[in-house]
Amino acid sequence: MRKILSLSWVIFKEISREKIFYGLLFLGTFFLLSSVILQEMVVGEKFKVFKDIGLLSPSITGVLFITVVGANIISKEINAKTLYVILSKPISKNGYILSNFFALILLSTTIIFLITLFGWLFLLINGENWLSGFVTGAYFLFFELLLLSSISIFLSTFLSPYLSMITLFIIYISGHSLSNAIQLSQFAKNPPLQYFLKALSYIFPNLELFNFKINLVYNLPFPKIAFLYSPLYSIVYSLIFISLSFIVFSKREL
Amino acid sequence: MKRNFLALIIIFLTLPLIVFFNVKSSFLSKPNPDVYLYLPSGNYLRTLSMGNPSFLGDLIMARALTYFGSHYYQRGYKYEWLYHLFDVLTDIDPYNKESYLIGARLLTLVDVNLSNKLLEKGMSYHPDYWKIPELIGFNYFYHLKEPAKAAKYYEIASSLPGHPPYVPSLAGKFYSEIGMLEEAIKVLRNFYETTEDKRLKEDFGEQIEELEQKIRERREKIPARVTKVFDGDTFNLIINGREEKVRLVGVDAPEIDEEREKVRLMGLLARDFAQFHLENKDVYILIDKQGRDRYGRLLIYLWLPSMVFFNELIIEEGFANVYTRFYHPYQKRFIEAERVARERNKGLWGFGKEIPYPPQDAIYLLGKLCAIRFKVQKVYFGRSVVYLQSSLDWQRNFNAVIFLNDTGRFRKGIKEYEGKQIIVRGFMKKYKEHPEIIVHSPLQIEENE
Repeated sequence: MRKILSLSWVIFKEISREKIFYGLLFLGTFFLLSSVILQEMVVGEKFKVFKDIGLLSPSITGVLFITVVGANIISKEINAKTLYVILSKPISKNGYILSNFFALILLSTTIIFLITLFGWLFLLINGENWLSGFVTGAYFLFFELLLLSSISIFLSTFLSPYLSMITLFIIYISGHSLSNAIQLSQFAKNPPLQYFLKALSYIFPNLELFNFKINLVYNLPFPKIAFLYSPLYSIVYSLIFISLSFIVFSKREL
Repeated sequence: MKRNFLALIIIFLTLPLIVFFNVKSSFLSKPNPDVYLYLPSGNYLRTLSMGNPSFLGDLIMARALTYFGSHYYQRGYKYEWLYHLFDVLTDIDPYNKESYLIGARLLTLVDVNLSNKLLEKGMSYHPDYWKIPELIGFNYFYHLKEPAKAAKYYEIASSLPGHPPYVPSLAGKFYSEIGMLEEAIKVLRNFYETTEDKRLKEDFGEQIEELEQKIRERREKIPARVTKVFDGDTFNLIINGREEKVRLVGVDAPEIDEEREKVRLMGLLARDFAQFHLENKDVYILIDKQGRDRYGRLLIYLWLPSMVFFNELIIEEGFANVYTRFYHPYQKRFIEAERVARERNKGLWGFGKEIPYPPQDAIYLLGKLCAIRFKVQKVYFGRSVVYLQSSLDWQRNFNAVIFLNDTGRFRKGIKEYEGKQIIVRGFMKKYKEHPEIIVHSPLQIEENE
């Protein structure tokens, strides 16, 4: 286990030095700052736009990060043939998958932390301390990204980086839209479509379980059990996808 | 090195060109579309927002406000898409309370009924937010002039937490205005019992007492129903199931069967006033000691359901004189009322001196003698009346109405008013949601080029 963790640390340090990491941090911060313009154009509750964007920004940045970096994280080492160096060390294929997974989680946590921190500070400067909202948002976002990381690792064990990127993005979109689309399909009066969407929703992860932005922004109550249920949901999914990655990666001829 | 130097020069020379192109290329940009045909329903957009409806809501709100703002100085612009925009916005993000209020306030410029529709939608999502029913109440009272509905919504607002004291106070005011004094007391008492503020308690206590006094007064009077208004001071009433012709004590309204055109007109305007307040209404009366006059009419004092003393009101508003031949206990009050009315040019005393208003303000002049300046878009001949229409858009129409039997008094053909700018003077009333002035005489129309 120590070997796995130390390898994760190495991967973490390596990627955190890459341009894409800073680029995304910059993008997230820029997005936060842009809320000043939108706030001017909207009437209503005073800090609503700051809160909306403060919650949206880490989520977008985190997802982009996992899509781009997660898709490359394994294939890059295969292409650069550095993988052989690592695997010739006493570390198993499974251990290698795990260390990549942990590194990805560590990196996305860093991104969530930093951008949420910026968002909180930004709102604080503007005159409201909304720590509870940001912390809750970050809490759920962490588990959403945990789930996405595991899927990303799984996809990158057998797909090319571009294909894996696109697939992950589709999963992300459908994960947020399916529950809504099912409700809408009732208006369409098209039973095959409804069954198809229902069937999809049984397999695809429902990412709306991690999305309480509306509730946080408007201070609407949501069931407290979500604090336990959503993480559990995420962990179960991750276990499945990581196990699947073990199987696929072990079968892969390098 | 030399080659790099050349490249640098090229870059420096072309950089201003790029700026120039970027500045100048605006002629190629697509015009900003005003039409939101492509903005799909909120339910679909919410799905597309991938779990960020609140943020998408911000963007659409910004768009809606720029749409409104960019046409604000275009007079008479109709903002056809404003309702759609706010409807979509509140579908996407139904929890933003403010968007209902903002949308509704802007929509009153388009159509007050749409404004209320948006607010009703807001009420279904935020049943415990007092500002929404309060705004509906305001729309009914201010824009639509329906105090009964206004009272109902102010009452709803006053049953919700956080409302300021003026809400129950207004609910009480509107209820008492339409004569529902018991309801008024109920609303006021609710607030009276829950408030802790001493001064408010005192104030509301006084208001309740006043209303209770009115109810006591009302019990001493005879209920009646007005069936027909002959002129400003003579009506038919049903009293205890019997129809009686009555006359107001101490009031002398101009006669309507006069030869002189001006006096006849005054009489008809006074009748308009009485009709507006009395026709088909339940009222309360007291019969004078004298009983009947020489024409057999019952001599009465008349109160509106809100306990407004009508004999005094019609003098106070300048639609009748005091009749001083016989003594009665209110004589002094009436004389003073007439003096004030005459001094302030109220009602008929100020006929011909009214400041003309544009037709879209007509609804705010309900129940008043006023003047409207407008261009006659169309002269429409109906079965029994002729309409001089201020607009072809029926929703915002104000009409001047001439009864067919009065058309003979117009020396000039009525059709000739079409396309002309005129000032119409008369008594503003409402007929089927639309404000109108009835033109009894050519004296009421003044051509204004």
